[in-house]
This record gives sequence, structure tokens and C-alpha cells, in this order.
Amino acid sequence: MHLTLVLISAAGLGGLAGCGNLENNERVNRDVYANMEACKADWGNPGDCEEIPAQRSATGTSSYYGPRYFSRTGSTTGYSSTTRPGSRSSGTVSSTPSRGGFGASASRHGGSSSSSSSSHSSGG
Amino acid sequence: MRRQHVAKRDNWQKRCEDAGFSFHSIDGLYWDEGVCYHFTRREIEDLEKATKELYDMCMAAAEHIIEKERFKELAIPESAWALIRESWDDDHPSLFGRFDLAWDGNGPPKLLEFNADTPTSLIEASVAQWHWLEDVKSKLGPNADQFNSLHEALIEQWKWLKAEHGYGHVHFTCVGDSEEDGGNLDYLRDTAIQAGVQAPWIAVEEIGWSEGDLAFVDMDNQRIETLFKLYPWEWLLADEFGNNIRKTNMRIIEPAWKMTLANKGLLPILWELYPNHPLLLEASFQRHKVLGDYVKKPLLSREGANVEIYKGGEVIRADGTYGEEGYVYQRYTPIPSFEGNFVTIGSWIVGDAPAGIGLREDATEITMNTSRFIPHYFD
Repeated sequence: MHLTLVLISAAGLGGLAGCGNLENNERVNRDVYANMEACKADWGNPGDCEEIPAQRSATGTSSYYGPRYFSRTGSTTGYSSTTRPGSRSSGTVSSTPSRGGFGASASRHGGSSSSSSSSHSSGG
Repeated sequence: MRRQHVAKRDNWQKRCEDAGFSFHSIDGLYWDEGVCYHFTRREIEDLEKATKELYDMCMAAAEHIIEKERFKELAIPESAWALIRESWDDDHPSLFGRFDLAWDGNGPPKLLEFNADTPTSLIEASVAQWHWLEDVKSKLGPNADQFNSLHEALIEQWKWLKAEHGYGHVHFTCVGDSEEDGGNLDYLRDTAIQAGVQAPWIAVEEIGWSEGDLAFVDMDNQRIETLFKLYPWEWLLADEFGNNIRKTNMRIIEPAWKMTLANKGLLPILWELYPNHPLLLEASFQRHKVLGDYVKKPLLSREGANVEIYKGGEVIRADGTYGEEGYVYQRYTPIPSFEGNFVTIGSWIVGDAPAGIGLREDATEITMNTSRFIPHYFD
């Protein structure tokens, strides 16, 4: 179980809202979890979970924030699958991206020419 | 259905390359037009009907898996469950898929597996095979035709994706140094461009992540709004950036709900939902529930990797890097053999409609990455 917070303020959103990348009907969410295990189970990566100081949590015990994420479903954000796609124009991001975070699995499974034969495909 | 020897075109390599099919001789012999398969019109109609029925059954199975949350049985990590549910609830659309069938023209075709996420052998099934038919038609007979509307169907599907889902700008990605993946991807980009879709390419290794913007970006630091990936979902999720996918609102083709179908765990679930269906082979997550000869398949293997056939006290194994995720067990069915060559039929679905077939031959009953592609015709 988790509680979803919808972040509508620019404060604390870094480049997200401050640089005007959000359109009117876009929202950034952040989920609150009762404990680290629940957050880790949902996101798979403990590095995405941030402890909420006890005095700030509703229960007085340590709860955890999950990572910020763009809301996806119409039920949460007012998006619908027919209006959302393409409603945002492409744009240059405001922060310096990191690269190289995809592709490692291909090497592990021989899905690139780094394996013994260049014929190996990622497909099936 | 019969295997027929035909003369190769004098310029067959050039004709393949003209179609963008550069990897025709990868690993020695891949495209083999010294033979072809001949079907009757009735047989093609049977294949088309079976493909549509299987697709409808698979969609029902996807709904069942998602509603009943049977993700653990498919070894899908919990961190992916929300992605799957959301993509299903929001009707994220599919482009294509390929069923692999065992069939010799008699009785019902039997489903071996569904390549629902990253089906390949596309350019050879679509344009290379069609060019072959055009070139040799006079020798095959005046009524020679081919079950192949792949090219037109893909263009129409892209038009629909653009008009109905706003997919007007799609980044295409695969591993940067795979000739086969690159060839398939370039072909798909071409069909998208013909449909009026902007279709830039980026190597999957070059995709950037902007934490501040919760966005994946291309080499120009432009947001990637929609991504077509010829790169398996489970690989994406296992990679360092995998956990970021859920933070974005980037659309992905194939959508995340296809993880429920691009998994051999689909086979026992189909058997549960449609027991004794003539298009299915008995399958189970538990070995003891499949009696007699059987095939052991890793949940996530591709191109026949780590498949094991237990038949008459013998075992045929294919090497590979899969299996840690678990296995399913499927009743053995003989793969049709013509002149000592084992053949499987790849039957394509584009959107929700059957769109053509491609045949693969091998010296063993396991179709692998190196199995030869054989053209076909019917009359």
C-alpha cells in the first residue's frame, strides 16, 4: 500500500517545473511508503527510496518517499490515452543527461557483435 | 504444403541487398532460395484463420494474467508490474508480433511460441521474399501468390498509431553493432517514414537519462516521447536505466503489457484457459504434469537458446544464457521434416490482423538464430 502525492508546486522539482517543461495537465507524482521494503518492492532499487524524517511523516515513524515520476493514467492526472500522446512537444532537457545505462543486457546474452558471431540478434 | 527445388536467381545477393537485406549470408547460409515451400490457397486460409484465433486467445490471456496478477509465475520483477498494468489500462497499442507454428499442412497448426516483443526475420519475410516471388513468378506459374501483406500492413499500422495515438515522432533503437537488428530496424523505420512518422535512430547504448527532467533523451538532448525498441523488455528493465522507465511518460513500442505474452509462461496459461484447444500443445509450469515426450523451454529464451527436447530417451539441447528465470514444459510435437530439413512457420500479426508468413529450416528440431530462411508461394 502506498499514498500518492501529486506535486503541483515548482518548489523542489529542479528542472522539471522550473524550466517550463510541464504542460497544464501534467503532474509529477511521488509515492509514500510505510517502509523501505514496500518502496523497494515497488521500484526495485533502494536508491530510488528516500527516508522521510519521522517528524514529517504522518505516523511518526520512518516512512519513505519513492522517486518522482510523471503520472501516466487518466485517473490520476486528467490524461487520457487519446489526448496525452503527442500533446507535448519535443524539447531539449534542462539538465545534463547521463548515458550508457542501456545495453549491458545485450552483452550478457550475446546480443551484439561483442559475442563470437555478429549474427546474434536481440530479437526472436 | 511441399518443399520445392527452384533455381536461384543469378543476382540474388544484389536483389536482397537492394531490398535492404544485407545480412542474407550471415553465418554462411541464411537466405536460401534454392528451395521454396508451396502451399495451396486453402492451406494459407487455414494459417490465416489460426493466426487470428491465436492472437485473440493471447489477448484474453494477457487480460487474465494482468487481472489475476500472475506475474510471479512469469518471473516478471515486481518493479515492472505497475508498468504492465498502466500500459494495459491505458490501451497502449501494439505494432506487431510473430507466432511460431509447427505444421505440415495436415491437421491444425500447433503453437510453439509467440514472439510478442522483439520479433525479427521481418525484412526477409516482407520485402526480400516478395522480391523473390516477383522475380521467379514466371517459373512458378501464373497464379503464384504469397501470403505477405506485411509491408502495406506495417505502413497502415503506423498511420493508425500516428492518427489515433499521436505517435508522430518515434525514436527507433537497438544495439548499435548488430547488423541483423540494424537491418530489421532500418526497415521498420522505412515503413514508419512512409506513413508520415518522423523516425530518428539511436543506439540503445546512447540513450541518455535526465534525472532533473525525468526524461530519456537522444544525442541532441531532445526528449524521447515515443520509443520503438528492438531490445527485449526484460533487458531494458535489467539495465542500469531500467528503473527510470516508470518515472517517465515515454511511450514504448511494444508496450509493457506485451511482457505477459513474450514469455513462455504464456503457454501453460493458454492451456489452462483453453484446455485441449486444437491449436495448442499441452504445457505446464510443472514437469510432472506433461506426460510423454516434452520440450523444456526457459521462460525468456530467444532464438531457441537453452531449449531442451526430451524425446524417446534422448535429449537435444541448445546452448545459451537463459534458464535462471525458470522453465515451462510443453508436450513434444514433431517438427515437420521435408527432405531431412525441419521447418517452422513464423506467422505474422500486424495490429490485430494476420499479415503473412516466413519459414525457417534447420538441421535440428530447434529453430535458432542461424536457421535458414526459405521463401514460399501459394496458388
